[in-house]
Amino acid sequence: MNKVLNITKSTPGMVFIVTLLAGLIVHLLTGNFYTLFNISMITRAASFIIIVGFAQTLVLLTGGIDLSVASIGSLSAMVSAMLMVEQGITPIIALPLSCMLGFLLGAVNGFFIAYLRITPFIVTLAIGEIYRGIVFVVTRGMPITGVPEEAVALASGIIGGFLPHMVIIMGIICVILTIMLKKTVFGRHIYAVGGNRHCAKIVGVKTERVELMVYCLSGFLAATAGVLMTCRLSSFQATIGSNWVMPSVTAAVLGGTSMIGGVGGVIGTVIGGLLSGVIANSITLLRVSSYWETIVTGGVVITAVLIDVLKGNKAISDKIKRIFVRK
Amino acid sequence: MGEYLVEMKGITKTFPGTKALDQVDLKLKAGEIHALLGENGAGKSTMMNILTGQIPMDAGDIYIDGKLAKISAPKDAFSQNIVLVPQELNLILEASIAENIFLGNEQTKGRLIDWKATQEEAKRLLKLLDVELDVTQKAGKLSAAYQQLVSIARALAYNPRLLILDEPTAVLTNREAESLFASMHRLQKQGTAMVFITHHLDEVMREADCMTIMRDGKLVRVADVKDITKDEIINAMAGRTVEKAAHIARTVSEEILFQANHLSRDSEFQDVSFDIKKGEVLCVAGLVGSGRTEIFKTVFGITEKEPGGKTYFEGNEVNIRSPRDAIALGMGYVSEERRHDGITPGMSVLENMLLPTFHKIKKKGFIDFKQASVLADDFIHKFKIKTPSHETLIRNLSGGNQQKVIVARWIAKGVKMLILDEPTRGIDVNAKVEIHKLIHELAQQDVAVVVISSEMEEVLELADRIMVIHQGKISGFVEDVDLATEESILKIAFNS
Repeated sequence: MNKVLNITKSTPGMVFIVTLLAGLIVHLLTGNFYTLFNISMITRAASFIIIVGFAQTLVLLTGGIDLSVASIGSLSAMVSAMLMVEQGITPIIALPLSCMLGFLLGAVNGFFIAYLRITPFIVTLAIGEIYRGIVFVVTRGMPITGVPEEAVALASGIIGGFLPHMVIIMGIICVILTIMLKKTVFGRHIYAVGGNRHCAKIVGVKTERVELMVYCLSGFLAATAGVLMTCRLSSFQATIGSNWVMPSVTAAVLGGTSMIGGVGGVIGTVIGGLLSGVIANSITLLRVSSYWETIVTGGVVITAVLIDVLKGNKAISDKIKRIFVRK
Repeated sequence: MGEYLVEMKGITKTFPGTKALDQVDLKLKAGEIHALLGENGAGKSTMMNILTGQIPMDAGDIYIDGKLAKISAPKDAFSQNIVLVPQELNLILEASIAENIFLGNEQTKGRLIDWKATQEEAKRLLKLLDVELDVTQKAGKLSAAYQQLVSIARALAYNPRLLILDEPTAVLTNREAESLFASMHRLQKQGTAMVFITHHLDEVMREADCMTIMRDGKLVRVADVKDITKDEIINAMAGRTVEKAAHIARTVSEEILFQANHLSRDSEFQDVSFDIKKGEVLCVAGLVGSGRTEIFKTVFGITEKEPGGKTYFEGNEVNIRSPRDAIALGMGYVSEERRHDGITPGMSVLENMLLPTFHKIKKKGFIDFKQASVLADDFIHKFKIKTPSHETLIRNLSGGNQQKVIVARWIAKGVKMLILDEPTRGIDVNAKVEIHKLIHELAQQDVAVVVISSEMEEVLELADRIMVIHQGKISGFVEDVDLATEESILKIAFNS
């Protein structure tokens, strides 16, 4: 019981409750939020952002940031489409190959950041721009259509009418990453590097290697999301992933991952990503203009972070209480 | 004006899980040096953080000049001219000394910063401490000792009526400490009251007027210095008698474990050659800034040596280019800056302790946390580490207990040579005795232990051999520690 209470007190716990409540309100107003169909639609749509959010979470844990997740997703997606459509390579080979490409694309970031010690923000911003440019140079912004049926089925399929393949894939990745982060030496070293790099170095953590690997994994996961998106859309669009960067950070932060590093985890990211998905869905169901979506999401993020700060810092919360109590 | 400058009454403060302060009183007169004593975790810092408005109290009153004062934010304390010099160095290393001194208290002309006045005032304040420095150089260029003095100068810029000094002499050498005490007495004559937090009881007996002793968040005793003996203080602090270990002469094996030949690193140390034998405790004495820390940072691979220098481990020439290389050989290192590169604050006691050992306790590729817990609990018990559990975040432990965790880290790993830089700085008497015991135990098990320390008492108590460093060079060795005294070591340092 105590444990349950503790979970609800944590940031992801709170966000989860807010998510359920938001759904409940929308359900009471429209009567069609908690339907199997709607839930499976929300979770399928959110799964893509959540997978990118995983990528971002890993990087944030080391105290970095990856602004290139969108373009890595896009570039890998393009390659996967070209392999399948233009080269006629079977998806069983083409899809993993494209995901591995993301690994290498991420390695470029990792090399500059870990070994040349350039700020992650700048490196991933610049490298991301280059990747995005490559996509436009190659495709001239034109879509690549004709993705094979099996590939489309992989990302669009729904088991039993309510459990989308995408959710299963996301879930499997989540489990693997959680085990990696909690149970392996590499995983704990990620936290050590983000928690105190100097200390990590002194105890013999290969800090550079850990950092490089984290950007590689980030690239791999971003590519996975991009490739699956191509399958889902049954064609490559140059816009794939173009708006993934901020939502991925949002999902991670709402999930309780610290921007300074060393604190957080991927399960929180699932919850954070779901909340974003619920907001978007609710706005549609309530027939509010979709232009409001980012305003609401932004408001939710700042509120969540604020509550977090107030919880963790009694001095600030006292200060704020005083401001309101006095007046 | 009342009898007391500052009077704290019935101060109570509870942190999650612990009652940090329980009805504590503290009365300070103008112009007195008041020592605040107690082991780590006794509540001294909490008390001072409340007085300076950094944390709120749950209950209690603070009177200043006999009037009830409301101190709920740092600026309230500043407006009463109550200033704290924190124990942990807290300077912006990239900014100049003068800038650091007037940070948050800038000397302005209109709305712009008056750099000329800033520099002149900075020089004047440092002179009060008997220090002359080029105040335009970066604070990061200074040694820890000078950084401490800059922090004190920063406090003086507020014209303090009450100056709180938290472990001011921890990083200072005797001479530097003496000049600090001289400045303290000068301030005292001007009517400044001082709270002096320290673990050096000799300093208290010599320099303070009276003292308040705390234990486990409670007030134990208030006394004038002339009415109490050192042993009485120790017993009051510890709540029991502390055994004082005397130096024990030991026979050390002749087998050389590590040897350095002609190590140099530009502007840090030159042409350093020494060896350490198996099971030997080699204490490194020398003033702060003498290069003693830097030498062993290079030995451990944190910094790179200049070509030409050679190192040998177990008779083989080795090239240690990173801490990983050093660890692979069987070395361990505990830094003097615990917060900067000792602990990972957001991780648990268990993880901080076993981070370098995780490789060894794997089961099918995954860390075996069951085994890890057993191991951690073992060390927690053995080293009397005060922590609710091994899951507790290390940042919630007191400094002494954090230090024990970090030393345990290397013992758990199993090292052949352990470098400890200021292992007992800022640590209470009992924790210190325990760490000393640990060092002896390690030596018994044939581990070569290097102890770098500013505290001569510690050096004389622990060492099998003493290496004296002065201005980046080895100025001599003391082979027969029993015959050595503080003076004889200083003589070696200065006669080179």
